[in-house]
Amino acid sequence: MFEEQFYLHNQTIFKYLYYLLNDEKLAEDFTQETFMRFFKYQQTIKEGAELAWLRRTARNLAYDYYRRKRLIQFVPFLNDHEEHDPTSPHQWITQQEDAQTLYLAISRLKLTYRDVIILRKIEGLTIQETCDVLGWNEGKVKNTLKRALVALKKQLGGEFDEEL
Amino acid sequence: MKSYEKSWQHLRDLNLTKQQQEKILHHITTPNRIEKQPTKKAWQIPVVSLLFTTVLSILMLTFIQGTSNLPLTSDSSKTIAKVYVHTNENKKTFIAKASCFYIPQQCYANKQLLSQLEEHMEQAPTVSVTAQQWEANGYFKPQDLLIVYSDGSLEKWKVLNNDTLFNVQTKRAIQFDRHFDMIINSHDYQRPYKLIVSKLFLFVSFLILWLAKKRMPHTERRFFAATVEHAIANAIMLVLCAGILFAIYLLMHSIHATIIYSLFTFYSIMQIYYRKKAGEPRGYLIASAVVQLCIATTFTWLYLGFNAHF
Repeated sequence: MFEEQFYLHNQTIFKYLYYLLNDEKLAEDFTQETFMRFFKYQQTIKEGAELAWLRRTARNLAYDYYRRKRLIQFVPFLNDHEEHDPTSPHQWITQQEDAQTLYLAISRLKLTYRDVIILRKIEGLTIQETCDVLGWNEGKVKNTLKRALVALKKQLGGEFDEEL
Repeated sequence: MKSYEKSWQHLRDLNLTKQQQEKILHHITTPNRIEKQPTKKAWQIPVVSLLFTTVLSILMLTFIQGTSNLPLTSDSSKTIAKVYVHTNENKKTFIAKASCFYIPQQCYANKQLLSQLEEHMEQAPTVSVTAQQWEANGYFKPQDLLIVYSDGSLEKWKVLNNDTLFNVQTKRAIQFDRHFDMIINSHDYQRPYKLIVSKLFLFVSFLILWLAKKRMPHTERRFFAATVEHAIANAIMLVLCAGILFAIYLLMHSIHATIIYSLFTFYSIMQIYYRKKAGEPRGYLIASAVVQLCIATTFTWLYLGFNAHF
């Protein structure tokens, strides 16, 4: 049961944490921590609500991390001295130049903008699903996404024709 | 303009490697060491909370205070130095105390105002207070008037029906041709300035909270309490505040300002301690401390505005 859920959702949670934290090792650790908590509390989680629970837990971990570290808006992309496995997520990002540019631009956005962009544009969640994860209302999600896309466009030097 | 659709898709396709997945799963499902679980105590009160409650209880106990033992005199060659007024519906007790630091009572030290009161007292005719007047006091609430003279002597008066003064010691009664509160309240021109200063500090406290929120947009500041322990301490504090208000307004106790300031200082330290323990950023801790200071200053100026007349 647990392994089934792990294989079903670990990529989603890792991806979310990776873009939120911009650090592969940290995202890996927090993915582990998220599933550890899931392992511990799985009996109390409703059937069908596992992914939502995992997303909320992952988000809380990431936000707690920022709170502890007092990082406000910007987190360095990656430590250049670290060597990466050729098949690692980091290498995957660097394989396509435009994707790397987009990733760097997202990583420079403030946390709430980054969060809403990850959920809506990368994870492809609906407005309602985004509301459930973030605990915001529909209006706030829409407005924040709009502002986030404007900020992203600015980061990309205006070269961005995504519908705002 | 260029479309980033392919790039979005590339970001969507990011995945953990097989090895990474296996490593995570292995860490979760295979315990690597046996950890000795500390035995959980059923109910544990932290030392700081205990200390906090003890100090507050001691402060509360100091509310019970004895009456002042200053000399009483009827010498007429002296001037009024200070006047203290405390509303007191119980005609058998006298609760006004000789200090501006007792809350809540009116404290008058304005020379012009005091000489005006002295003049009215000298000119007021002696009357006799009937039992009916003494019992049914009409629309106005009776007040205790404590007069401190320049030689340090005291006179205790009861203000009845807002125009009759009854001396508690000599049983002499005098009647003013004007209302007592009109004589004593007509010279405080500084009150609007004091109120403006208090509102300014209140505004500054809001501004600081707003700035702190603006500076740390991702951090949700817990407004009431940072932890459950903090919430319990806050609840105790609220009950104590309610106790103070009950003591002041219903039991007619006068409380010394030192007690209230000590209580507030202790409460402020507690706020910072619990918030720091909960891991809130330093910016919020500083903001909380400054806000506490602003609130204390606001209430000090409000009190000065309404109760102290220099």
